[in-house]
Amino acid sequence: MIFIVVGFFAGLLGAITGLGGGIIIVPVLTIFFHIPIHKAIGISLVAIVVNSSLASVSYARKGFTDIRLGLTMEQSTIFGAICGAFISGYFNAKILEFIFGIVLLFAAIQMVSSLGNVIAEREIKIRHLSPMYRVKHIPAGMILSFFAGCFAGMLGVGGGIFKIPIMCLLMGVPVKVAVATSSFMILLTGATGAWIFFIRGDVYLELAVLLSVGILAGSLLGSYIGIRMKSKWQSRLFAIVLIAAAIRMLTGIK
Amino acid sequence: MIHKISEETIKRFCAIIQIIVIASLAILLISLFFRPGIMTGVPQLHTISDPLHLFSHSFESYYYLVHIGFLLILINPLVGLSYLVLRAWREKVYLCMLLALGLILYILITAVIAGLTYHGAQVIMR
Repeated sequence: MIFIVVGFFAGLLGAITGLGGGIIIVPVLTIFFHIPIHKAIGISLVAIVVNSSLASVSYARKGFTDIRLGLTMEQSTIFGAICGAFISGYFNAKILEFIFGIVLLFAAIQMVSSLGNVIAEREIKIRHLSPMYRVKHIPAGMILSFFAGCFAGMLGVGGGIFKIPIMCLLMGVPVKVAVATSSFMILLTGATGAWIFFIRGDVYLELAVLLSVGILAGSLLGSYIGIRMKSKWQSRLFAIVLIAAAIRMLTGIK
Repeated sequence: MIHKISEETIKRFCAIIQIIVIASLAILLISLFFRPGIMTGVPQLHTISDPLHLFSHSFESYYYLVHIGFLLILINPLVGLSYLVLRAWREKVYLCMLLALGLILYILITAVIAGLTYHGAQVIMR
């Protein structure tokens, strides 16, 4: 029952922010349930796939998902996820977590300082299936997206923590479209990473089942709230989640 | 010239993804009733990661249901992308078709390489 509750809150937050829930699931499983981090990452990736399946469907139906942008960005992101998942067993987790924490803090500061003002101006331009914005710096975005995929595959997070800032700050995509597109991308990135962890035997299927059931409910509610939530508040919530994740990474999981 | 996939295709794509996820979760929930230890109330989480151990205890139905449900979750994006490829081909949105096709190949090749690497490592260890 407790895993279903954990899954519910992870799904709720993951769908609202577009993170995918992995940032919550991995530390909770490791710290509170003493599950080895490699197994936690495997479980997290499966739960992320379920979560983003439902969240991305909900966003796509509302017309927020930029499928073409998502498919383009995924070319490099999936390649990154493959590399990340393969090398995850060979890298020192502590060093990676430290770097990850610094990057998260940086992203959180960026989201709160500049993006919050820009979002309000762009939000009014979003229309059903024909968003009025111009995507900029696609090659640079794809290169950075590779690293986002790398971290996603390595740490069992959806990669939204990187993809959303990349799309918003670098590529000029409105935050709601970025969250929706990120959710769609996480579905593909997560599935790729999960394949590798599953074949390696790093997935506790039963825990993944229970978490997925909780995530189903949390994700449905989260995507409902996410669409109705003002972008200004969405980015603030996103920043808070980033800071929390950064503290978790910098202090280490043991 | 059509630049984007139609709204109808996106809605159908969403429906496919949703149906597969719900079906897989339903199978996984049903599988919990066949879970080893549920009759005695003793949780046996450690047995789940060891398929051979499950087989040795004749928990085949549980093992198969869990794996079918799990594999459905994993092939979900592949099915969705395959549908996008077909529809993009019909709607002559060739760039999207190629991008989706590329992603399918990425995922399939990755699964094969991961499998070969894992089994190769096991053979070497023996």
